[in-house]
Amino acid sequence: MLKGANFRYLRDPVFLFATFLYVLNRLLIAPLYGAKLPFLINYFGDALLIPCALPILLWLQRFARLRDNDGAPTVPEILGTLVFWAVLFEWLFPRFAGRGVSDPLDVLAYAVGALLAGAAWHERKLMIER
Amino acid sequence: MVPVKRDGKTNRIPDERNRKTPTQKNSGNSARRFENLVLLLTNGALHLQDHFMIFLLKLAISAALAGGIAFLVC
Repeated sequence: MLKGANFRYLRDPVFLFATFLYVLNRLLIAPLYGAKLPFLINYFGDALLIPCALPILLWLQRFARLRDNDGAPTVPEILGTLVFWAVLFEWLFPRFAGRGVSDPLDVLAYAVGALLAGAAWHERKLMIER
Repeated sequence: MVPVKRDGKTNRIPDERNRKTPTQKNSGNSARRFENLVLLLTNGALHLQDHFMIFLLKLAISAALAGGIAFLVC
């Protein structure tokens, strides 16, 4: 659905913007305004998980020759990663590795981030094709 | 030299040893069909195995990256 040789992995604008936002929030915005807006501490970073980490994952898969095209992330890739990481971050890691806290709203944040990033990748792909 | 008839055909008697009975012909067809089926199934299984291995490797990379993120961020 979202195929085409237009995805730039670690130089993808959505990835770069999301990573910039994450670092900015983590180092500057959340420490300053986190007390007034707990959303910034609790969920903003979670919403940036897929746009920040999926391009790295796809780049690793491409590097290992497990991905056979350079197209934008497909719906199964986004959804599959979302579901798998939701299980890891919200159930497996807190329960068995003592990492993080299980919160169902985190999954909602991941999903919103994935939806926005997927829409941006799709829109960008359409723009390039035009 | 083989005797030749007037109509040009040889007078040789067909070799009965090389002629296959209908049962033998059917058995050959069945064997070929079975062989084709086995080849098809083997190819299918290898194809599925390839896809499954790729899926498992992708899953492993995904889990490793998630572990790294959890280690760094949480």
